[in-house]
Amino acid sequence: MKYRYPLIFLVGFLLLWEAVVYINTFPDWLLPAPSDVAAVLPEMLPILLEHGQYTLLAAVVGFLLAIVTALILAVLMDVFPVLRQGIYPLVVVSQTIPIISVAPLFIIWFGYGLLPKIVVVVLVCFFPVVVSVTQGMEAAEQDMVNLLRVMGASTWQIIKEVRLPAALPSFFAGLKIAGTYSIMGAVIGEWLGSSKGLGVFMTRAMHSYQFERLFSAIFVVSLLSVLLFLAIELTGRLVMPWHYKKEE
Amino acid sequence: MKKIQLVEVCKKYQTKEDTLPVLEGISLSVDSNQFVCIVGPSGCGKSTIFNTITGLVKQDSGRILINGQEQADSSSMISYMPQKDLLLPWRRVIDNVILPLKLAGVSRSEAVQEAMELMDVFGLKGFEERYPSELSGGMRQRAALMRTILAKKDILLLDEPFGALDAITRFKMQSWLLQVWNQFKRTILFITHDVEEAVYLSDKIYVLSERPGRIKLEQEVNLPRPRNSDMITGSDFVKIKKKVLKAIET
Ligand SMILES: Nc1ncnc2c1ncn2[C@@H]1O[C@H](COP(=O)(O)OP(=O)(O)O)[C@@H](O)[C@H]1O
Ligand SMILES: [Mg+2]
Repeated sequence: MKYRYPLIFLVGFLLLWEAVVYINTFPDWLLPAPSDVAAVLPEMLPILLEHGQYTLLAAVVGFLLAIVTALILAVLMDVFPVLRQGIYPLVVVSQTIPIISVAPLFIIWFGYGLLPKIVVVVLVCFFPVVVSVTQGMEAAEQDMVNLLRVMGASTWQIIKEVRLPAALPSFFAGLKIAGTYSIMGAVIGEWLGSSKGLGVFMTRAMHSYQFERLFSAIFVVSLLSVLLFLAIELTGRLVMPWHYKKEE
Repeated sequence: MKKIQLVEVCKKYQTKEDTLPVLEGISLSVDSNQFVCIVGPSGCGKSTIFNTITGLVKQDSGRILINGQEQADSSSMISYMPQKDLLLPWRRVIDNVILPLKLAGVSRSEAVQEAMELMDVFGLKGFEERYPSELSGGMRQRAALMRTILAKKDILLLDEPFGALDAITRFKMQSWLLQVWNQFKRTILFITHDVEEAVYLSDKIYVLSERPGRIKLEQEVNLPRPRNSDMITGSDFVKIKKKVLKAIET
């Protein structure tokens, strides 16, 4: 089973952490042991899921919006080389802008509701998706494109039949990165100001020095990210059976 | 009637540092329903000839006539099978072979129905729903050929279709191609570097020189059809084969 080794290492890490907390001399509230976190988890779970719902909503909506805009841009860049030359470098450079530093503006612009969180998620997810699709489309075999030309295919038919399918494996690799970013993006959005969501819950736990609550929220954030990751992996297997058949 | 005619076609590739002359005054012609082979050493410009005929590459000088027309819309008359099979990995066999029909606007159900009737002829029955990566080399080649033939164009350009196959599979495929050709009667221009293959299959052979490619010999092959494996050792066959080999060597 392929999950055996990660599980062994995870358990080992948790045991080590537990041991450090018991052996150390610093006060216990500074770093709760995994067992302390596990102890509060059942009691916290209902409220965590209540908050988690909002975080997940912002993450998934932002993620889907990022996918749609990235796909549209990638196709447009493929059809119009001018766009590819003019916009793509700017997209890359835009990644040097730390989102966390401009995110407070979104609160001012878009208020305290769902919208500013979605904007943050879209911004962090957009880049990995657009890069993976663009590179995947460029990697399409030129001979295949030529063959379709000789068959009389139109530009759009070539994109639909060759370039986009060829980009799928790379696209899904990008989606996995973007998917994990999306939950984080939503949490960051909530840190900046919100009434609901795991980000808010974490800020409150932090301010009241209830670190075992903080860690239980972190646990839920990781759980959501892993679930999203698995959902993307599963979708990939459904969409590209040919890709996984080749690997077997 | 002449289906394909090249008149004094020249082509040089421009690379960064220098120019690479690839074709020097290629003239050839293929009649309706004829099977014509081009043989020559690898790198001499055989595939480039096909690329100029399909319009993927523009010749520097010379004329190319398809159905007697210059600058014809080649995609409506020519079906091209490149050296690599280039089956789309994300389409099942059935959807690969009907691709040209779908691009031409034929409905999927109609195209599938037509293709299914031919699966047996192409030895792909039972493999319709497989992906190309699940097929053997010979089957992939047959699928690529089926796609080429199903496009229903008058002219087939086949670029070393059996080049990657082992000798036994290759011989089976040659005999099978002749059968299929007999059934579908198209005009075929066929590239190979195998002299025996050329003699066995064709009505006429053009021998190309080393790069830059020039035509060294135009050889008619007047062996009776249908051809069979016994002919390969016959004296007429051997005579033609020797003549072609000699042209290649000198
Ligand atoms: N697009 C290209 N640009 C530059 N050189 C090319 C290009 N295509 C082919 N060549 C060169 O032209 C020569 C002939 O190629 P090709 O027609 O593929 O030969 P053949 O099919 O006979 O093996 C080769 O040396 C090849 O490297
Ligand atoms: Mg070649």
